[in-house]
Amino acid sequence: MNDDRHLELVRDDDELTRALRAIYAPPSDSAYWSFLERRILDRIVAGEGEAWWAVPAAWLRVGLLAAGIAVIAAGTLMLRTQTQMARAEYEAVIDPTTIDAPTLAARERLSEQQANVRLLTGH
Amino acid sequence: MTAVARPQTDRRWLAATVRTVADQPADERELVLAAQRGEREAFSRLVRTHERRAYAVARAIVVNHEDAEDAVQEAFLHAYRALHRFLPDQAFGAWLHRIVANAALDITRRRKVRDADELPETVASPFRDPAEGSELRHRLEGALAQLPARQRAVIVLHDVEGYRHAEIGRMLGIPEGTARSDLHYARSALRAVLGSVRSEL
Repeated sequence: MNDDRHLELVRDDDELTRALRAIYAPPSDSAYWSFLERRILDRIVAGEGEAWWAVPAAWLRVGLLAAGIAVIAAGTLMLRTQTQMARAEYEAVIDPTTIDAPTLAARERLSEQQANVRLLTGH
Repeated sequence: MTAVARPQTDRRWLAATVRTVADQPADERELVLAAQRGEREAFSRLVRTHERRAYAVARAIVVNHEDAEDAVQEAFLHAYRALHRFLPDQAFGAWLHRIVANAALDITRRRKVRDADELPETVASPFRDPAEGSELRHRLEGALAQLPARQRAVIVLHDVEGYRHAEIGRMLGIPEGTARSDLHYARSALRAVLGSVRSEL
């Protein structure tokens, strides 16, 4: 590259740079920058608000999970209680120790004395 | 502001940031530390200090003033949320500019997708009144709008904002050599415009 061409390129680049700086010049009004600063900070405060909402949402998920577990536990407990009650009723019917002597005597065609002996000895 | 008071655990976050504390004023480091402790006024001062440069970086990448403003706001919000990961011994400006560049590139990508469904990009520039600008300026704005976004960003960041190739590469996530070649191609395209305007006058 000869010197003339080099100088021409330098001159072109200088002119280009000046033109680009004019095109891309940032706003010069200081009020604009105060305004932008305010908007940025407002955006951050709004973002923090979102963050605060995000925390309860997370807790809500945990709460729903806990409630679900509680419902399942309560259901299981209720089912178990009902089973135990039914079993108790069933055992009350079939368990000879829960029958008194007159009932046993009537059911087995025994005398009341024989029924008493059977209840005491178990056979 | 509990979010920024978390312990700094990710020490790789700024591995690519080259500028060190030597480039950073001591009071800025104090401001960063205060902001990390949750002092909002300290962060406000960081915004005040860096918003112009952040705008310039964003404006180099996006096609208009409004998008640059959006990118700057997005970037500061992101920086605020990620402040706990920033190492105060690094240069806050370099870290922030990288975030700004990413926000601006995101907006550019979104606009590209949106514009593909609408009208083709014409002269999306800050030029408003034909009486304000010279013919050269008008033609340059047209040429800038036609440049690939990355080349436009490189030439503006280099020639207008004075960043070095390596800094531009880090900001835009491209190799330094790519930044050099982008600058070369962008300059050639704009010089051609300059030549054609001269020959017509």
